[in-house]
Amino acid sequence: MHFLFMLWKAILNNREHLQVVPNTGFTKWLTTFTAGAMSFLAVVGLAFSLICSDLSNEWGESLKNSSLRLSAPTDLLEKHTNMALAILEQTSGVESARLVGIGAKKKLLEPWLGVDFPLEAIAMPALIEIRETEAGVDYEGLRLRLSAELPSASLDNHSEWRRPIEVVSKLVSQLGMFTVILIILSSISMITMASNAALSANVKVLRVLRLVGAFDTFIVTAFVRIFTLRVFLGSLTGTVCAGLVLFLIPTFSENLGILDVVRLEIKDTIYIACVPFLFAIISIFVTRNAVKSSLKRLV
Amino acid sequence: MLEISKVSYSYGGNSVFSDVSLSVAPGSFYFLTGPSGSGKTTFINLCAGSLIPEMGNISVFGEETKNMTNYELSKMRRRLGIVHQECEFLDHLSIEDNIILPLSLAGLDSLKERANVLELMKWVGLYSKSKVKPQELSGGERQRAALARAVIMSPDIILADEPTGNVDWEMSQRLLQLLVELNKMGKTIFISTHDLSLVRLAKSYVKARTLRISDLQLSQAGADL
Repeated sequence: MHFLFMLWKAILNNREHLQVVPNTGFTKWLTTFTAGAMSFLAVVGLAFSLICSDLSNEWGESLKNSSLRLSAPTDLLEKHTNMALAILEQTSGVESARLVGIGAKKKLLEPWLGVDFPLEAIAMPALIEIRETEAGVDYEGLRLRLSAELPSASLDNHSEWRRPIEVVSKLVSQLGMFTVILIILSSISMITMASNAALSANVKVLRVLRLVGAFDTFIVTAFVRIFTLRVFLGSLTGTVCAGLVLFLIPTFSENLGILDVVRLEIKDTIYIACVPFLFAIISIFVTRNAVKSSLKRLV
Repeated sequence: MLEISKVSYSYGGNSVFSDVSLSVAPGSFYFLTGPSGSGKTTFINLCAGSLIPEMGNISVFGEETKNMTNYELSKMRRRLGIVHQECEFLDHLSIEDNIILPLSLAGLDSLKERANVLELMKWVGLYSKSKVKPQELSGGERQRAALARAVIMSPDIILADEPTGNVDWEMSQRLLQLLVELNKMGKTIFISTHDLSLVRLAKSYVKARTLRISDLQLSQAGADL
């Protein structure tokens, strides 16, 4: 908060700077609107990229384990389960094997069956979660042994389809980052164009200031301050609007279960909060260069 | 005070001056005449440091404009009063704020200076228009406001480029009176004009020298003016 106050004070502190640049006309709204619109797009792009990155990590983590499903009559299920656990204990590459309890099963099937489904009332297959070592399990060998000794067991090797999902989600995440970079580059171009348009409309101001002996540093600082203020306010508005839109998304998806993960984490919110400051920094450099080149062209 | 030594200038290969020299003494009154397009405005811009000579030197207050940095040029302009034909102002500020602008930029915008500005506005006959925006003023009023802005920093030299170009004869006489008064206060006045009747009138008030630009040269105008 103190930092924001200091920044605000630095931007607004000099009355003369703010006085000499007209704060009216279409260029004011052009700069502010451009910054707002580009910030909105940047925030949405950044948010989706961050969400994809989080999803990629989450899926990768949750699919790290494979599972063994045992379907057998209720009276034989316990015996088969113990046999399966014994086989897994002897299999190289298996770090641990754990029987999934009814609570975990309920949570697993909740997206499809709902919260209140009486899972205890129906005959459910036993589920064993297998955690592999770094070296990995010889799934072919394990499958052969199971088919010989325990035909009721069905082995799900998650790594077979985990890898493509990881690749796809990583690609989506990278595409999101690429989109964010494109949006930032477009923002730089748009702010440059808006600054140049505003400067063209204010070329008389530059001439008058030169005529009355204003130093170039004063002129540059005056324009940088007012343009940065406009860009910052526009960007802040765009960011807040995009933030509100993103805030509303989880409300729509809260009953979809599987999409619950589609939400921003605190670190993501911090990245998004940096957008107006990033735009302000871009504006400082872009306006500085634009004013300097306009002054060079001035007779 | 203002030394012009063997100055040449051209626009895209078309020469405007060639080998022009002039020495302007403090407190003198000069008219620069010549037909349209002869280079009067270019000459004023060269003296103001807005243009840099291609050949030769222009020294203002002992410093060559060619060797000045932008910072030094701005500092020099604070000691010059410049009035252009198209009197440009900051349209979003009042006339009073426009006139006081050079003082504000120099950090001299005190209450005492504000009072002096009002005195200055009385002198140019714009006291009642102090809060008016520039676009609401007539051509003559704008010229007088530009003159007031040019002299607010008490400059040693006043460069006026066609100051009576957009006003009627009555207003031209009034502006000339103001410039003559400034000259009597010891200011050096350099006016470019194509209005020879103004030059003739000025000579009845003050010892003015007349220069003429033609055929790329600067020469003393004849006594027939």
